[in-house]
Amino acid sequence: MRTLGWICFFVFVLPLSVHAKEIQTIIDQTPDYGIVKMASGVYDESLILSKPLTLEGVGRVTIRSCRLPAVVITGHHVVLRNIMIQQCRRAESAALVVTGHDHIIEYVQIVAAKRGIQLNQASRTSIAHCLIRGTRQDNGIDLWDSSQNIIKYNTIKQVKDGIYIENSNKNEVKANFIHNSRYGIHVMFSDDLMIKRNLSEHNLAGAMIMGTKRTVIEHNSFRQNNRHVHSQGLLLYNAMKTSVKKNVIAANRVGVYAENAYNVQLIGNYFLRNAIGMQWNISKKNYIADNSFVGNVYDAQAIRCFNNTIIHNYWDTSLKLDQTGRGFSAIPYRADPFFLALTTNVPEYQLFFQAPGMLVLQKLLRSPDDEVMIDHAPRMNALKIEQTHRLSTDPLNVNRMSLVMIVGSISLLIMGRKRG
Amino acid sequence: MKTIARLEWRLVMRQHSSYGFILLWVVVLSLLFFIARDTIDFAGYTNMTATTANMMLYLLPLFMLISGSFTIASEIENGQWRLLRTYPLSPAAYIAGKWLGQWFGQMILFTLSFGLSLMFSLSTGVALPMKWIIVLYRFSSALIAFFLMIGLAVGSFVSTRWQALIVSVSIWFLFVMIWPTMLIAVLNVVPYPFIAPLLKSVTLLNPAEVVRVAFVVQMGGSAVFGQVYDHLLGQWQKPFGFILLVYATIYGSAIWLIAAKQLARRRSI
Repeated sequence: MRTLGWICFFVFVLPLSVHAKEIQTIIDQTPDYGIVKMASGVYDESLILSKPLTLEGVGRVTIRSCRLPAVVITGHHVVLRNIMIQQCRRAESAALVVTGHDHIIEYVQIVAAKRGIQLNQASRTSIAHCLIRGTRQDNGIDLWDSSQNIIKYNTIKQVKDGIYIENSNKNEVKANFIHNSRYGIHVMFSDDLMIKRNLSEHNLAGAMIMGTKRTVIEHNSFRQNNRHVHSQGLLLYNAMKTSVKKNVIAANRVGVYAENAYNVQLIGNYFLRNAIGMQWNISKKNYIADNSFVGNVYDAQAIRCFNNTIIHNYWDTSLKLDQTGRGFSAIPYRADPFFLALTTNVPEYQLFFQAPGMLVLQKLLRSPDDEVMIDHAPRMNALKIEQTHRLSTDPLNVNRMSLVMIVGSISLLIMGRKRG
Repeated sequence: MKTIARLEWRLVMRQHSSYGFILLWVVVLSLLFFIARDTIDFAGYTNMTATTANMMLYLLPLFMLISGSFTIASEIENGQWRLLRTYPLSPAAYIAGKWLGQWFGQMILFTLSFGLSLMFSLSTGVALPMKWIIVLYRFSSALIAFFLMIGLAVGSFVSTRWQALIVSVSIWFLFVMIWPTMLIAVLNVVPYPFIAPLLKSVTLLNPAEVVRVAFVVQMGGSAVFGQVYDHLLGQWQKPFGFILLVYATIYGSAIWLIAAKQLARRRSI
């Protein structure tokens, strides 16, 4: 039996480790800017790429690692391409650790137990077309003190925060798809970011932007982030001179929540079927214009907000009268904060959310004008925006159901009317 | 009880007002479905779902209270009740029969209208999500069941239809229109720690609120009630139907017993 065990060890285990050792040795022997191609197979080793070269998988290449990071990239100009990284459950570090500058990471698939990709003091690095799946314990892509990186076309799911950016400026986050995670994009104390065309859905929060200046958030889609009592499409906290433009914010609990926001431009966004469209708290000098509010249970609420400009938004619930023919209504729209103020003091009253009697009470007790968000010239028509996906429903089923209902009830009705 | 139920069902089917009900429900539901046409992308809790629920909350309780209370009040008024008193019929069985017959009859009318409205909306190209339809139907039938029972209890206390109407409208106004205002007014003078338990327990007295909360939870919008109720509703999410059934049984039985007791007292006078 023991002999058999040794035979198995030599036949199966040794080739693998030799295999991997060879890769690291090959990497070490490769001249600068050389290319190392890995053949299909599973490599149980962690690799260190510390000089400029390209490591490329040909076919299906899997690198497995448990304790150490599967791949560590340092130095500059390293390209990592077409590789799958698998972490075992007891992994203690990130699957891929990157420092240095000017690296390219693309077509990398990561099945992470902890963090997917860790950028630590990395700059001008591009992460594109990667797929990261986690166990909700750690972040998908984590940037610490890393600037001017580009993160684009990645799919990230089942992680803590899809893309976590802290103390990292001037990064671009474009066209990523993040779902079923805690926060889609989480920004802390980072300035001049560009967040564009991302789709973040079914997360606890679409994007959490905290402590930022001059960040641009455009053409993103934050959808169906409504599972939790604190769920939001987009949260802005301590955001300054930030521009939020042309995003689709749909079916969230709260579309946009802004607190301590100054000089934020919220322009041309589409707020669709959120429980609360936008909520503002302790914010001033913001510019909110040309947004469309359609099908939200409450469009907007604001308390302790001053000197904000709200103009030319489309509110589907407002009374509209176009006197001049220029497409703007003469009747101002008041977003009454009554309910928000009420529930801030006593959260238990939240149970009256959209209760029929609450609507009556709100009409009776109008808040004073200086506490209300007023759009003095609401738009007559919503701005056009690309169609969001429609829920598919089978008309045949509905048809059948209505037929059963009609036939059943009519026969019972006739039976009831019969004499005797 | 069976005889009373059958009699009541036949009566509902033959009343001219029943056709009025059908017309009303068809018009209201069709309009709601029609408005919903462009806005139901996600079968979740949206402005449209909230508006539809509120519309049902405005209409159904009022009409069910009136139907329920009138069915007993008119029998008292026209002397039929005196005649019935001579039969060996317990008040509890009488109320139960009335409720069963009325509920069955009203459900037939509502189902017919619901089916017709669905058909209309389909023919105009409105494809509503199945889940939305089912939840709305269940919500409406629960409202009908609860408020018919309360209506019957009202009927057993009053002596004329005029009184029945006044009491019904008052209860409707209390439970639907003025409920939050009243609670907020009362709870504002209560010490803060008592607000939560009081609010929760008082809410249980109002089936309109309970059914509305259940509707929102079923549409997946329980998060709108905030953190205070997250724990509670999160726990309830799974056996929610069962809990509602238990609540309905207890609430319905309590009202039933009150009504039966009142009728028994009247009989002995």
